[in-house]
Parts: sequence; structure tokens; C-alpha cells
Amino acid sequence: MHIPDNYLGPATCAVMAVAVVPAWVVSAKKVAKELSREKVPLLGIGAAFSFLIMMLNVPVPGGTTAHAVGGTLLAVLLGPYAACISISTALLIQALVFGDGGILSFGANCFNMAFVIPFLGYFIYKFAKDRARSRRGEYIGLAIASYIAINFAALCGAIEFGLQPLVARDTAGLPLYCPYPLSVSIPAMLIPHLTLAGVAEAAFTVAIVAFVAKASPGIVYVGSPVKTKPLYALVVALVVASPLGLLAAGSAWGEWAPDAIKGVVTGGKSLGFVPAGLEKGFRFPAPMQDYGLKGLPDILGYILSAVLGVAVFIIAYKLLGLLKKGGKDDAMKAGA
Amino acid sequence: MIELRDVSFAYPETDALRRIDLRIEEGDSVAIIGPNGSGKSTLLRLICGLATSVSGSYRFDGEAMTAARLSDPRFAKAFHRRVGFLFQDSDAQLFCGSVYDEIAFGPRQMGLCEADFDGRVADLVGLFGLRAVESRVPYHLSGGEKRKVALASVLALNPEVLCLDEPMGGLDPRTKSSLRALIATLNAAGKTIICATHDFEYVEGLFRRAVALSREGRLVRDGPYDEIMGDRDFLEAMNII
Amino acid sequence: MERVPAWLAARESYEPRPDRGRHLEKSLLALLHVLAALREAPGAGKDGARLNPALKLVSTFLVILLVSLSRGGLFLEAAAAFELGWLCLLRGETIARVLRRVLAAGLFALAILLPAYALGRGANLPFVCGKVLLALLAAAIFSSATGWPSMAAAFSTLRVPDVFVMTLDMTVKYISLLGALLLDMLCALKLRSVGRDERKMSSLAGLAGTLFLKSKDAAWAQYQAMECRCFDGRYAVSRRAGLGWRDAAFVAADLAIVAFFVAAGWGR
Repeated sequence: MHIPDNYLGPATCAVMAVAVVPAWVVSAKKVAKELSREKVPLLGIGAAFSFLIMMLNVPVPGGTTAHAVGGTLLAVLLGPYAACISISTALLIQALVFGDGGILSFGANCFNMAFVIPFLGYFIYKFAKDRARSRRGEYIGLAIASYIAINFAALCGAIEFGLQPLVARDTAGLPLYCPYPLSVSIPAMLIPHLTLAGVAEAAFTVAIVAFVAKASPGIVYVGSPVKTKPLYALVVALVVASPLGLLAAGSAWGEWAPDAIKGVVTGGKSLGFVPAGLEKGFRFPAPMQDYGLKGLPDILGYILSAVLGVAVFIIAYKLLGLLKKGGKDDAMKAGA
Repeated sequence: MIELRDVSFAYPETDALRRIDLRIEEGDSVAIIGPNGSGKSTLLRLICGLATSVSGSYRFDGEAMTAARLSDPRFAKAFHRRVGFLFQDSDAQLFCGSVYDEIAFGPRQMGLCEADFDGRVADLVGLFGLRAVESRVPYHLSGGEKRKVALASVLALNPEVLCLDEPMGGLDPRTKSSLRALIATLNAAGKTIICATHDFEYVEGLFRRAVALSREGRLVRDGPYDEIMGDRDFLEAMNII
Repeated sequence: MERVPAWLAARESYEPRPDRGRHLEKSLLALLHVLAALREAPGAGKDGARLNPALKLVSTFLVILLVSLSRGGLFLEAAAAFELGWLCLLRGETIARVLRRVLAAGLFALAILLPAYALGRGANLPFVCGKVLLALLAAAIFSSATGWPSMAAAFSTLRVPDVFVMTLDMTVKYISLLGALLLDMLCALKLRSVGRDERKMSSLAGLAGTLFLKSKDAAWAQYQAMECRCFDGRYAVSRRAGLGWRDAAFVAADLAIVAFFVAAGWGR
């Protein structure tokens, strides 16, 4: 579910980053109040736990595997606020150190995985738990909560993707980022999550919480029941308003022609623009004139090519040196 | 039974084992001794198939143990059943909801019928004195109880070889004594015991043979346990005592 | 001496029951990769060690942002020159690591984007792919050439509150520690998985649950250790790096790329 860079336009990334900031601020404040100083290490260690959970391959019916996110799991174990901070931290480490998830799209990833999943999952679970009459009922509620939460997050991601062809287009009306419209992105994201990933997430969450509850009954987070209504409102507002915000921001940045939009929304194969776009799109390292230099001297183009050429040559030389060195190392080891 | 020839192993930054030649026969009881960082754990992991050497050969019961061979699930499973490994940290080995389930995990996998695996669990619970904690979650047991549960869960597979990584670590004297007696019993019953250990006080008479590794990961001495442990100069030079 | 049960003293022949799924192997591989990357990080710092890490972080963000904003191939060419220029200054091993990572992620991106052709939306795809690859390359160069301690120092230099830097530091440290434990746990589970596991999810959940309990215990122990050392909520980071001539050259290159972006019609 990690969105890499350049699948979402900068406007979308900015909007999602702004959308997730209130969640961070509220979570940080709540954590500071609830957890107190003694639990400060828990955030970092909780983030490490969240990171490691996302590494695990979970068996899925049918013999394949899926990756769990564990958002609802962390919300139930540590509380949704601590979960939000911990998962955001894990996502930051993943993006910076491992390139899992983009840097510009960090806000969007946090919105989907560190905000939507823990908060939605937690509130559904709490709702079910307060009404359940048995342990079993609670766990069913937990399964449903984690299933819904991960699928809703997938839906958010799908909407973020699917709006790109609408909000970010160039002068020719061609998509600058994700080329798939909502009619493609929504089924593409939701089907695997509704069938495989969601089921794995639900089963994994329930199994872990059951284990922990049995091993250490007092350890599971018990949240305060008051003042959830304003938070419900906040969650709903953010989740509903974000796509609208994306559209609004996009229209300020994008340059779409109404006709081209019509073509996209109705989902028809607009044969009119495909051939022209293909022609333009393929000429990637092309003579400068075609890209509208507007007064830049040609010499710059040559300098660029020279820099590129020299860089590629040096890289190739160093890689060759690696191969030779690898041979020498083997020889040394054999002789040792 | 276990034959290592010219085996070396390296981690990304350091060499762990250099050119080890070692033969262990069935029914042997061998202590692997050496200072910290000498590769004792690495040697055990190699023997039980958790790691494969970068050079040299390892044969178990005449069969070459290569990475390719171990990637065959059927072969790997059969091998892992025959060679049991006790981790230094018992918490790494315990993941079931009760001591009973922990010990029953292996026999259940093997497809034994309920009566059979129930019998095995009962035998091991009796042997290790775990009756009082049978239904408890292993995580919250004491260090000694955890170690016993971990060993019992490995024995439930009825392995022929037992690789023990610092089995006495962190245990109180009484638990050490009872564990020592158990290991002796298992060896007497025909199990091959290979044990990496620092703790020499409680293993008197347990091992017939000792293999000493140097800090650089070389096998420097291999002979009768009493003879090597009696050579104080050697042990001090090796930083073992 | 107590006697062992008869079955324990007898040699057993066992034909392993087949089982589907390779979730343990996949998890082990993913974890090994992560732990190796975190182990390598301090050594990787040798590459860009003499550059101010905050500067590297800001530059990486800047390049990714400009690439993202660009709408024409001219600027992408300049960005490629900038990034490859940086890449060729690194050691051979680092270059290989960066390229491996970009190749893997790039192929994955291609697999996601190629079906657009089938839907008649293939126009502009090379351009989109080019941007995706350039962003991947910039991020890969940054992370391969910057060890974690440097990254933490970068945040500190950028005046990120100390409590966040501390949390990040602790996260990375415990990913290694807890990760090593999880690795052993996965190995232990694999060693005892000698047949068919009818309760795979339950076994894996036991691992994860135990990991959580250990995490909680570790957090409590960490807090107590910090209390014993008079922790009062403040976390001093004494790694703020200075600026040298290399940094000045780097800033000049950054300014050049921004200028190019503007001159090329704001990335058109």
C-alpha cells in the first residue's frame, strides 16, 4: 500500500500532507497527555514493532502470502494516537532508509496507513466491543474493524490515484502522473484488498490480539470513552473533504480542457488524442527545439549531454572495477 | 555422522569460522568451548542447517548439506526433525499459547494422531517436571521453566542430535543441576549432544569430548574433555577461563 | 537418573508431510534484507560523509520536488545529469547497490504502469516512467550514501524537535534489536515446522504477539535505564555537522538545477 513518488502529483501530495497534519498534532498532544514521560520510549519501540510487522508475510487462503499493515492491531494494543505516531515513524524510516514509499507522497501514505487505518479500525472495534456480549463477539468486531479499515485505506489510495488524470494534465491533456482513472484504480486497489489482504489483516489482527490478551490481559489499550464524537466528525470530514480538496487544488494547478475531461470521465477510448500523444511522448532525449527552449542557448544542451556522458562513463568504470575486485577477493579467500 | 571438512563461514563484516575440520559420531557428547566471538553459535547453526558454509563441505549421515539441498522443503523438514537446536534466548523459541501447545507443536506437524502426541506431551511434561505450568503461557514463566519448555518442545520431535547453545545461561544452580542430569540421561539413551558452553561448573562428567575454538574462529584443539579442561595454561591462553 | 520414555530412546523414521506456502522463507528473506541494510548503513556513511547531511536531505527533497513538478523532458534530462553526476562520485559498491535498488523498483513500477497501454492511456508513459525512475534514483542515492546517524543529525540540524529525533533514533535501534529476535523466532519456527502446520496464522501470530510483549518490556526497561541516568525529557543531539567547501559546491549545483528549472519554463 506504500505509494511511491510521481504516482501522485505535487498538488495531491501537498493536500494529503496538509490533511494528515491535524491527525499528527492531535495524536502528539493526546500521547503526551495520556502516556506521560515513562512511555516515551514506547513510541520508538512501537514504531520498530510496526515496522517489523509490515515485513512479515502472512499466509492467505489459497497458498499465497500478503503483507499485513497492522494499523488496527497497533491501535488496539497501544491506542489510536500512539499508533498514528508509531506508524508514521515506521513509514518515515521505510521511505528514507529503504525507499519503500515516496518522499513527496509521505503525507499521503501517512494519511492512508497511519491515520485512516488506526482511527477507523479502533472506532469500529470500540463500537463493536461496547455492544458485544462475549469475548467471541469482541473478536468478530475486531476482525470486521480491521477488514473495513484496511479496505477503506485502499479506497483512499485508489481515489488519490484515480483523481490524477483529472487534476494533473499537461497542455495536450495527457496525464502527468498516475494514468489510471477512478474506474480503473478503484477496482485495481480494492479487489486484492477485499479478497486477500483484508482477510489476512483481519485474521492476523485477531490472532495477535487474542494471544496478547491471553498472555498479558492488562496490556491491551483501554481508551477513554468520552469525546469520541468530535473525533468521529474530524475523521469523516477529513476523509470526505480530501478528494474534494484534491479536485479543487488540482483545478488551480492543472490545465485541462473540458473536452479532454469529457473523454476521460465517460471512459471512452478517445482515439483522437492517443496517436498525437504517443508521438510526443516517445521522443524523450530529443533535440532541444521540440521542448520549447524559449531563448536558452544551445550550448547548455551540449553541456548537459557532456555531463551525462561523463557521469555514465565513470559509473560504468567503477562498476567494472567492482567486478575485477570481486574476482580478486575470491582468489584471496581461496588462498587464505 | 557429522563431518565438516575445511569449513569456513563469514558474516558480511567478519569471518566467523576458518577452515574447521570436525567429525562427530553418533552418541557422542561434545562441548564446544572458546572465548566470546569465537564462532561457537555459528558452528552450531551450521550443523543444524540454519547457515551454510562459504567453503568446505558438511556431510550429515553421508549426505552433502548444501544450500541447494536444504532448499528442498521435504529434505529440509526431514533433516530438521533429526537435528534439534536449542536457542540461547528461550523467548525466540516459544510462541504458543500454552506449554502444552508448545510441546505438542512438533508432533502435531508430524501428523501423529491425538493419542500419540498427547502421550508424548505427557511424557515430556513428566520428564521435565512441568505439570504445574502445563496450561500457562510460556512467555511469563521463569527463565528455568522457559528453558525446559524450549528443550521439551525440541525433544518432542525425537531428534537424533541435540545442538544446545549455552543451555545453562541465566539459570539458577538448582535448575542447572536438573538440566545437566536430563542431558546426561538423553545422551545415555543414545542422543548425540553438541553443546556450546561457557559454564563449566555444572557440566562435570557430562561431556566426553571438547572442541576448542580460538577468537579467530579456528579449531585449535579437539580431544577428551577432562584432558583439555585440566590444561589450565591452555585455557587461560585461550581466554576461556 | 530418570529414564527416558521408550519413543525418545528409539530411532524414528519420518516421511515429512507436504505443506503449501512459503511465508516463513519470504519473511526471513525480507527481514534479513532489512537487518543487512541497517548494518551496512554506518559503512555507507563513508561515501557522502564529508557532506552536511541536512544539505543532502534538503537537496534530495528539492530534486524530487522539481522532477515531480516538471512537465517536459528537458528538465528531466538536467535532473538526470545532476543525479548521475552525484552517483558517479560514490564508490563502486554503493553505485551497484543504488542501481540494483532502482532497477528492482523500476521494474515493479513498469509492471504497474504498462497496462495503461492496453487501456489506451499509454500516451506520455515514458515521461511518467522517467519521473518515477528519477525520484527513485534520488532517494536511493541519498539513503545509500547516508548512514542512519547522519540522517538523524540532518533532522537535528533542521531544528526538528529533539523528542522526534530521539524517537527516530530509538526506532532504528530497536528495529535492529527486535529484528534480530524476530529473525531467531522465524528460524526457530522454521526448524520446528517439520510437517504440515494446520494453524499457520496462529503460529505467526504467536511470534508477533511475543514480539509485542518483548517490545513492551524493552520499552519499560529502556525508560527505567533512562530514569537512572536522570532523563528529564530533553534529548541532546551533539552531531550537528558544520559546512565545508564541498557543501558550498553542492549548494552551487542545487542552485544551478533550480535555475535550470526556472529557465526551462518552470520545468516545461
